[in-house]
Amino acid sequence: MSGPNEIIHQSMRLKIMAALNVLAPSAALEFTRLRTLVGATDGNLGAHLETLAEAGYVAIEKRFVDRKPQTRIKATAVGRRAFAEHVAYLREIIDRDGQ
Amino acid sequence: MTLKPDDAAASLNEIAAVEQRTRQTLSYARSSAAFILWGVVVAIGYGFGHFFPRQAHAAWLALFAVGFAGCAILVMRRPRHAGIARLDLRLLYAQLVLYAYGWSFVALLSPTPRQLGVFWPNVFMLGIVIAGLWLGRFFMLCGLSVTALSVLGFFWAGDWFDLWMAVANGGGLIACGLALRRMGEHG
Repeated sequence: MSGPNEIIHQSMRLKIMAALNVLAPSAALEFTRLRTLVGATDGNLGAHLETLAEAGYVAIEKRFVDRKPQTRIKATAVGRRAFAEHVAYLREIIDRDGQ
Repeated sequence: MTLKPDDAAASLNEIAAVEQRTRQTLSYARSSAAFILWGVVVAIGYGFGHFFPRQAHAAWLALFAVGFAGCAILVMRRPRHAGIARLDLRLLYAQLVLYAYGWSFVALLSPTPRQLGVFWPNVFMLGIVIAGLWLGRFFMLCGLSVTALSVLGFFWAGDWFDLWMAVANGGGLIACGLALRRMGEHG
């Protein structure tokens, strides 16, 4: 049995990856919508996104829409794979416990 | 780092809760425009039917075509980043299935124009209530509210039935669409 992904396992980062993983592969979520979904503050979410981006798990795109800055986040292929492996690991722990 | 089964279960529950919330928010945002579109379509249809009852049947056929074409355009024009495209197509197909079944019931039962006026909204509201079982309770609330208002109108609106339906059904769908848009934006 492989170990947990220590970057993803942190509660807020786990929620971020869970929300982004629901989207289609090319899809992204706006920062404000993601913030509401995971129940984070601006600063908290920004810090965790930076950690995930450094690991290559999310891609952050900044652009202007109607002269307003907009930040969009999507899970990368690497991030989706890492999340799937972490979820498989969690399920494995429960399955082993049940045997 | 090793995890205990309780920790793993808690993490999986957290993931499931966020996934459910995300799907619900996306479905609210995606369907708001379709609600508003159908709200406008049926408000025009019932309003037209009140003032020009003889042309109402032809007008409804044209308006249904406009509604379905509008929904198809909404699905095709939706930005790729907005979510899961395949689900959108299924929602469009679901509307077509309801429409086809509705026609089969109409052919079998030959309802009166007034019965038809409450039958069609209730067929589509049934679809919305069932979709709400998966997509979010607010869909169920919308569907049940419009159904209840339609039935009220059927029994008590008298000669104002079509105008009642224009406001209750058309206006109700538009109000639901605006609320869904707001909920989709703010989670």
